[in-house]
Amino acid sequence: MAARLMRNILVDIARRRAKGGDGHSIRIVDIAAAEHVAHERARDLVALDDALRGLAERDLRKAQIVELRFFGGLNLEEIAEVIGVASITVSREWAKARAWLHREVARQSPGAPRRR
Amino acid sequence: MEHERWTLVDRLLGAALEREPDQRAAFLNEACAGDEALRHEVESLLEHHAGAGHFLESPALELLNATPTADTGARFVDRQLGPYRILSQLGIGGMGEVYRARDSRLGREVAIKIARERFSERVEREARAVAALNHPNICTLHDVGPNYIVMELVEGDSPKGPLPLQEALRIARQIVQALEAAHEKGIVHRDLKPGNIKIKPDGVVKVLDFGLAKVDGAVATQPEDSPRRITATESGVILGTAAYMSPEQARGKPVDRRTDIWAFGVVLYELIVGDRPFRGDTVTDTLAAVVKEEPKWDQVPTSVRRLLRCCLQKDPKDRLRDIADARLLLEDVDTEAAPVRRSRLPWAVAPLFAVAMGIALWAPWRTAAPTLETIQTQVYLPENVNAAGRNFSLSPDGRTLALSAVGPDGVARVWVRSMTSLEVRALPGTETTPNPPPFFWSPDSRFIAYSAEGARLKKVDLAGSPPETLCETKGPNAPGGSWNMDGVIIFGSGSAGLTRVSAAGGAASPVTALDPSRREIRHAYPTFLGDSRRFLYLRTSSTPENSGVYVGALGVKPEDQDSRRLVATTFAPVYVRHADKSGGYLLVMRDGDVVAYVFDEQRTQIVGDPVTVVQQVGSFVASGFFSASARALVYRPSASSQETRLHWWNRKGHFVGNPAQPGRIRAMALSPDGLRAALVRQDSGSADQNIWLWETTRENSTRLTFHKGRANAPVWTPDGRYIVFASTQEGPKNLYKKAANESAKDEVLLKSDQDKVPTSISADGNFLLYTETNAQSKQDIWTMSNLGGGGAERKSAPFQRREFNEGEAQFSPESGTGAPRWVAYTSDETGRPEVYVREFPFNAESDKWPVSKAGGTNPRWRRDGKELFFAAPDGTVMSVEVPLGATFRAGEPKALFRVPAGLRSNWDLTADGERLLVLVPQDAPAPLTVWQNWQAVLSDRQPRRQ
Repeated sequence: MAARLMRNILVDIARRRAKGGDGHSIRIVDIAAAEHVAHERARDLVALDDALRGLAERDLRKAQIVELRFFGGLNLEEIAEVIGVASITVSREWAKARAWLHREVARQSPGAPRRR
Repeated sequence: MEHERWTLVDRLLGAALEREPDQRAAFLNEACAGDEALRHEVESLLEHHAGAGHFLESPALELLNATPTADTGARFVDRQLGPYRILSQLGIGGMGEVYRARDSRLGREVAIKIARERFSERVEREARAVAALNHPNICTLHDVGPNYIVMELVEGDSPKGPLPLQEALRIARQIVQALEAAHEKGIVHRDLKPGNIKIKPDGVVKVLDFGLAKVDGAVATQPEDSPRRITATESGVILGTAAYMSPEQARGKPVDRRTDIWAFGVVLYELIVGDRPFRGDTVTDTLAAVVKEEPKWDQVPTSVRRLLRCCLQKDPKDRLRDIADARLLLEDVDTEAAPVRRSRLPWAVAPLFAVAMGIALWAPWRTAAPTLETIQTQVYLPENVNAAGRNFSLSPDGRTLALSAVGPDGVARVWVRSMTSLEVRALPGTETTPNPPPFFWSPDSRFIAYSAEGARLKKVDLAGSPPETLCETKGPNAPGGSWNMDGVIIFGSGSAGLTRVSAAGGAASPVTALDPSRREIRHAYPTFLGDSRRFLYLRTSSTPENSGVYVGALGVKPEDQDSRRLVATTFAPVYVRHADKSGGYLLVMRDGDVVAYVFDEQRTQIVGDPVTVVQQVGSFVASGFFSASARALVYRPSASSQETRLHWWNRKGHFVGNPAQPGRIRAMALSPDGLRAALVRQDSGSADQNIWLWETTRENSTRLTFHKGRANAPVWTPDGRYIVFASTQEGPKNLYKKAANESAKDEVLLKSDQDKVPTSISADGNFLLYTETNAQSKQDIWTMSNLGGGGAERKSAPFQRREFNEGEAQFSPESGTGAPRWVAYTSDETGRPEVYVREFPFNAESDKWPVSKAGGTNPRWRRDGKELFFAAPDGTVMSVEVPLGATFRAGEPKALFRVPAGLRSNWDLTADGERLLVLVPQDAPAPLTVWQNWQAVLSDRQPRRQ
């Protein structure tokens, strides 16, 4: 379960990409279109990380489920096994967590009024 | 206040989601009772729930690496590019997407890389030069276009270290041969790395992407081709290629063959050691290491050090000049064959099913391991007893196996099986949770402790006296426990630390506490050491560097427990102590194998590297399917045999016929007249499945579909002329229709991004019911009209679309060719799947009639519509009478007969309901294997590198 490490790596790369490279001697050749979109994705990921921190403060179990599912790639049965609840519970928590995160990320996007 | 508010909103949101969308507003009105802010909060969350679409559905890694949206990928699928028909997307590369395609001229499959920009003339020239190469270890280029390259489709994995030296050299030799052939023609690879090397199932090594890395004169650094190849130890996507760059590349200087030799050295090092020679947290650090640091040589066998040093000289002038020299150096290497030893034959044991087996369970592309002789026996259980996969536990004296099994009444209990006789029995009164974690024994092998129904930990003695409650558990299950010599029991939890309780029952108290700073989720699977005071256990955390086996002790405050990790793992530890209590073996799962660490109890540490004990053992999340005592090791192998057979049964469940039939059958559907069946058969030699037609009286079948991927779920039209089925040939399961004769063409019914599976066609041939898995991973029932085609456009509409899983929908058969009136289907809205019947077409006002009372799936109508069959949760086939009438009325479900485990949805009825065609697995899930005297072999084994 490299969930946490993966998450750190990805968010780290995302933060770097969002800032625009770290200036070294090798030109990283990347096609403009893909780069732009990867940029967008990267920013999403940073927003997601922030939102996830917020969720963890309010509802640790939901945040754990999201981490295990989205970053760790575990499916619902597997998460249920680790946390020790029924998979229907995991399913419900996941649905609610997703709704909340989606809203948080939407609020953080540029143009949306900042609210915490 | 904040927390209460959150809980309230959470609860309301959950309740709202349980209701149908059109009822939520009314519900919230009532529940919020005037609190506008509260209602607004819940409603906004509901909006985001509905509008979340694909949010968070793809694993994070793919998101970051993939080019833009699914659109771009699908852009080319199904298009024709000259003679090539694009079939599916294989992945993303640095310069473009890679697709699987079929060359219609030659009838073979190829891989096509389509770049986002036109190639420069130089790139095109290079590509053509590579195309002229023809070597068994080089991925052949077939064709080059202005912005695409057509190449040989290579199926296989990239090599990953650490590998046994012999194996690494075998691969290295082939890479060298590929490089030699290319260098001779003046072609330099420039981007050699494991991602560009594939091992085919037959063991042949193919090097891909020669010369393609160069764009615009600068060296391109590409993200890894396939996101899934990223390992947890890599420090990032962009670094993937930097680690293989030569010092001169890092400095931006032009490259030549010696660059390839450097990269070859890096790859060979990595295959042997399992880590890269030059590492860093950022691109800059990695390149700095490449330019300045020396790799660690201590893990490299001396026989290859010279070769590697020559390849990894920083100054190209000092480096190995010619790859042919590498070949000569390789030939000089002393091959270190793994020792071939025989184990002592164990003491005489002669259970009825003793089988002598050699262990040679390597993946196909590895060289065969030397075989060791051992005696292994298999544990078979009676037919009506269904043992769950992972729960079996050997008593300390090795005489009894405790396991969880479901008996004929469908209830899970503790069963015990003697290891010295064939006796197997259930312990009365031991109702457990439906899927309990492994049981654990008292040290005198008299008692078994288990997670009982109702969140309790109970113990029961082998003699079968009534079980006693020990205490309550925090969650429904106690994942693992251990019982020491002083009558103290500790057990795990799904959301907390370990708890202790006296073996006589009573108050429970915490032994360990979760450490939130390490993001721990639970402590579980404790196992006492020889001193009955200390114990090993698993801490599961979201951070991999904190998950693993730790040591704890009784009498220490929970917050003071030792936080030094012994072994990094996410699997439960099993500890087998030596008789003298100086230490023992710590067994865990690693990469599908059971490995043993030597543990020294005096010094409380692991000694040396782990040794492989058994390969290819099944596992689920944190439990490996194995249990060990001093004398014996019991495990369930992960390979399953998958042989099946079709039998005829009658209504009483008696076997009445074994028809001649082909092999590799995975599923079937009887034709309306009962004379033929559509079979889903696995292709020989691949994982693809296709549909075949079989006359139930003949042995052979004729092939109907020729799909790459999986064709499944055949459904006959009532006139027996067509078959509708699902296939993954062109993406997630799509719907096709084909006339039931082999010369017909496939007709696409519906293609989309969601998985779809057909379930039933109406008697008038007009409507199709299918199950679609939606973006929230829930299953919904849909209808398609105008199935027959003929001018009118086919339309799809949801039959029902709700928050629950619904599927397996079946039209009621109508007399003559009338329009269908009812649909029987399965829904888990109550938390457990049940069978219901509703009117067709779907009408929000109409009633929903429950058919099953205690769970049910797989509804099937009898052809005259007077009887409805379904499967109960334990597999029993139930039948319900349906008197004909204007409204639907179902009688009481009646049990007909029991179907053995695993068969639940693979049976079909003849029109009169008198006979069933049943698909019977020939082997149950891999039987438990017992290995006596397993420890004797350990001393002969070479430790495996971590």
